[in-house]
Amino acid sequence: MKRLYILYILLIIGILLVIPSVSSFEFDNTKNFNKGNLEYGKIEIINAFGLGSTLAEITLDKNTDVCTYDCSAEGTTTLYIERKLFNGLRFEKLTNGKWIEWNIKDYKIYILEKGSWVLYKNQELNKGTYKWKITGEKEWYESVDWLANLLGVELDDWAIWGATTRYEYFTGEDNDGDEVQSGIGWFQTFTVGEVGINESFYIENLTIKGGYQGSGNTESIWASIFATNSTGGPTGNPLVISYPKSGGDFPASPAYSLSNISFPKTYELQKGTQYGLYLNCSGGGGNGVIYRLNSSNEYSGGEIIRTSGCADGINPGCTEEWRPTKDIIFEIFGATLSNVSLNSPVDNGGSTLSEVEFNCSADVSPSILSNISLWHNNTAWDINETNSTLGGFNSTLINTTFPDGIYVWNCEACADTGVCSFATNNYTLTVDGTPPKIDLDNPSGTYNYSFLLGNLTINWSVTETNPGACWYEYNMTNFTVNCDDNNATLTLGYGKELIFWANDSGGGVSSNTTTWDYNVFKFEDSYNLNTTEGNAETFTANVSILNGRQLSEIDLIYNNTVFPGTIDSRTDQNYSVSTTITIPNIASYTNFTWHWNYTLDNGEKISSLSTNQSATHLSIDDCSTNTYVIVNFTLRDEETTDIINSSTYNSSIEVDVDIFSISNGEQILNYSGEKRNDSGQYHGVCLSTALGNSVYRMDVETRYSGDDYVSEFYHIQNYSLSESNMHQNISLYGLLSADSTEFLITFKNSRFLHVKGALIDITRRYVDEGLFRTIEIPKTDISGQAIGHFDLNGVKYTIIISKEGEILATFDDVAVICQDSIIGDCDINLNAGSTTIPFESWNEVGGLTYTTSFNKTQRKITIIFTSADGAAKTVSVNTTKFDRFGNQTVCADQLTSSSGTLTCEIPIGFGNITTTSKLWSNGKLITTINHNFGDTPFDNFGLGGYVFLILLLLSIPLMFISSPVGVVFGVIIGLILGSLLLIYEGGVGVGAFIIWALIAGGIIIWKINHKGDI
Amino acid sequence: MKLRKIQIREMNKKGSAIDILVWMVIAIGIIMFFGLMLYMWNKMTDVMVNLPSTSKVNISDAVSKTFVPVNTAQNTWIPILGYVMLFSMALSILFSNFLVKAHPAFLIVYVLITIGAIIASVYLSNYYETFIQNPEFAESFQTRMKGGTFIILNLPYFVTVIGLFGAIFLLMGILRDRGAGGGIG
Repeated sequence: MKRLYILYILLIIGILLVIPSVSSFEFDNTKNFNKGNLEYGKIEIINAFGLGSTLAEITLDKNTDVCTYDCSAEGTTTLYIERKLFNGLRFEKLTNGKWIEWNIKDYKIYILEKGSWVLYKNQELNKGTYKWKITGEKEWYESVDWLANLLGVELDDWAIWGATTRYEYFTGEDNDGDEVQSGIGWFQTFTVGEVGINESFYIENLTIKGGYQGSGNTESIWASIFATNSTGGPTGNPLVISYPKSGGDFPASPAYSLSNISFPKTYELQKGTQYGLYLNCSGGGGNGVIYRLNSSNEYSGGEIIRTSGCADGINPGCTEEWRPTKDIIFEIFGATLSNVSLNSPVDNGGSTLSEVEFNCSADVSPSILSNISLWHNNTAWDINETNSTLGGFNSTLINTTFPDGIYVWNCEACADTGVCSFATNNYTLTVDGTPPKIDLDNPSGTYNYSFLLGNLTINWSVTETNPGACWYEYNMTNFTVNCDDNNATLTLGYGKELIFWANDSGGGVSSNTTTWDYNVFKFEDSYNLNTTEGNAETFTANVSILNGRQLSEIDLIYNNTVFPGTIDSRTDQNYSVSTTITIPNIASYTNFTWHWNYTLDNGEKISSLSTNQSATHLSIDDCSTNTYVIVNFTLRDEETTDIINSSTYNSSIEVDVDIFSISNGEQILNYSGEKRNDSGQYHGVCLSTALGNSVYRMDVETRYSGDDYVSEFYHIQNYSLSESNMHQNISLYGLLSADSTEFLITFKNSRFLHVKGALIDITRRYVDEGLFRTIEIPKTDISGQAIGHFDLNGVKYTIIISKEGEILATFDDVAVICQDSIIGDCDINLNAGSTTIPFESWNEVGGLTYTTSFNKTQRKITIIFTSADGAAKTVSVNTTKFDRFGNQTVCADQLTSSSGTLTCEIPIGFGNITTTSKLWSNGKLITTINHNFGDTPFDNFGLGGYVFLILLLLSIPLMFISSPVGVVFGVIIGLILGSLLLIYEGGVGVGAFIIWALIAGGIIIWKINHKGDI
Repeated sequence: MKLRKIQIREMNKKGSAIDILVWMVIAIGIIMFFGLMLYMWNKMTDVMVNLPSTSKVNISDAVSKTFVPVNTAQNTWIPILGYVMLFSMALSILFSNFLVKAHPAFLIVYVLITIGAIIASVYLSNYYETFIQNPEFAESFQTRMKGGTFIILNLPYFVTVIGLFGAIFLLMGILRDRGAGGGIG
């Protein structure tokens, strides 16, 4: 037992001794790279497979990502344990796309101590933070990755020292002893170094700063590069010359002001040729001149120092000497391989064939392209084939066979100098010899009902190893879908066929087609979304029926009530159906549901989708609550047309408004009211809402009166009340009792029967304004009689009789006379047979009944109008000269009344023109009428023209008297000739003449063939 | 009674291709002459009617009984006379073209002359329009000689119509002669 205890104690002691050794092992160290906001990121080295403590933190602060010969990297390392700065440092070089172990020319590791870089001698360092720098040398064309090792972890996450173009040095020391003075240049030579066969180099991006001290107005400095002879002197013309400054704009203070001398272009330098850089300054006054040299980035860190010279200030004749402390480096580009291009297949391209042709090209200048190799990763990333027989071309085709799969490929081009380069990016290629398989389940078969722009579900499945894109073609349009979605919603057009397409990454394409049909397909319909109660609403639909079927019955189901529809027309399988219903009366805003029921000839009933129509309740009042004015009466004096002072005359306007449905004639609304005394000159009637698309019939009876005024009526009959003509302002003209004579007007129709319910529109002529105004519209009773009030004191009236919007008779310019005013026996008996304007002359358009007359002698156009329903309308006529412009107004007239007369006189100054008169009613064009004020043949020749026509018709036929046909021919010739000579108004148009000429020609030919006699 | 053929060969068969030119010139001459005559008579009558009368000689009355009726009649009939002459001359062109015996080649000459006449008529018509726009002559020519003025203002049109129908009648005459004295048949 005691021995066992001793064994345990020894075991514990052993473990304690082993632990430090184990913790110093580096195999369990791991790194944690974190880019963060740092340029190159930070690496943490953590013990115990990342579960232990942090041993060190390293950041790379600077790195020459691209360098020519001298490369460097600087960083910071924080050691949490005592260790070496680096365990080791090795290098790899990029060769043929692979990194291989490489020993560079030379490398050193420095550590910053007290502000100075000192060589690091691989010693152990205490815990702490250290700045370090690695420098190395490589060839300019080499890309080298430097790989440091710390605590057993290789830091391979950072940057490399990349290859760059070639540089040649231009040593500043070579100018020792050169004098720099006014007007004398400073010359420095350099030679293009080792080059390949037929290789040239280029110089670019050289910037030299030059300046001088002094004053004057003629100073200039310039720089040039010359080819030089064996003694270093310039030969020939300068290769490049630059004038950065010319003219005396260098300020004297501060001294040594500098200016850039830039060579922005690229210049070709020939192999083996020595070149010289020549700087010159020419200045006035012989002042001291200073040059300073610099060359862009490569000169950073160096400076130009004055090795000897003059004191500051103006020192005529003094010489200066300046020398760069570091080599000035010209960046010389040579043997570059640029634009290695992968021409085909395209990136992410595909092939359905296993054998793929690759096309690559490269630009190399000024060297010669040696070969192009294809790289791909079929088995592993490696060269597949190299084409070295380019035959002077810069491209090649390489064929390679692949199994199905996705591959990465690139091309490497090499110049004869040994420089090689890949295209910037690898391309991806998919080889797939099996096209996708498409199963299309839906749509198919015959659906009961659908409609244009409706939805239809497409169901599919695509089987493909390397899926590409999927799309379907419908109605000549392609729609892209996700292959894996397996369903989509189609917006229906007229088409009933769909082709589904799918391709794969290899370029293989498959398709599947499906067709379908409908028993009923609605492609158009119309109805109002909103309406009002009592309105006549028309529902229409255009549908197509399945081939072989017919539509036998159609019903509209509106609010669960069946309304039979009608088939208005049929073209092949297309039907137009409609029905008009009256919206039920409602107490408040209501949503009605409706749909169509289509019954086919086989008895099958098909319903359309249910749709909503909202209906609004209507109410009417005297505008005290409601705001949508339908009619607004204003009481005026008939003689003065001024508004009557209702307080003075205790006037009143009584109104009775009835609104009916136009479909079934049922009364929808009624309003009756009176405005008297203070408010007796206005009376408005309003609805609770706008009418939208609703239309109603409105009848209005208005009686207006007042103290000293007679009581008169103003009727409106069968007024088409809609949104567009709701607000009617109507003036009621009251006639003073003293001026009024009451007449009993009796109207009979053309069969002398009394006409009941006719409106007698009495319009009074206002001579000073040149127009008629409606002053009273009574309505006839069952005996065809109504009371009218007339002013007999030299007033003319026009009376228009109408009923339900139809003009029955017109009596214009009536001079009213009372047979016996003493006993009040004043009668006006009117009958339709004595109308002054025949019925045929009246036209009705847009609720306006009008007739036009035209007096050429007086050069006057007269238009008499009346509104069909008795409501006031703003009617205007605008007459313009008829020419191709149509914008020269000749005359115009306008009147707002329920009836009246418009006149338009054509000023004599316009001469014998043709005019175009446009008649407007409430802003709507009613008609366009043309009038010709030119002379007629009768105006020119009088009766003499007809005498000549007779003479022609007698003489010419007589020339052919021996032949009946000839006589007929002669008559035709005579008519044509008379017409063309404008001695009568006939068909002088080209068309008429041609027809006549053809007839005459036919006769001539016929006679020639038959050789008849005259 | 059997109708006889027209004996063309016994009639005056001399037609002229320049008839249309003659008509054009005479037309403007007649209208100008009649128009100026009306102008002169109207002017003279107005002046004479307004001559001051003495207690012994009532010139105005004498003029009213002599010149005025003549002037009135002239204003009525001279214009008619003017365009009657023009229409008659136009008809004579048509008839003479129908009755003349012409070689078919004559039709070409006729057409060429007619085209020339149409071109010339444009200038005549324009100059006439410029003339009658003179306010002094406006009443006589535009109001009184209305028919004649209408013809002259539309002279190119009238020349074209008369020339065209003249050609038709000339062609019918040629065809008739080819049929041994027949007409259009």
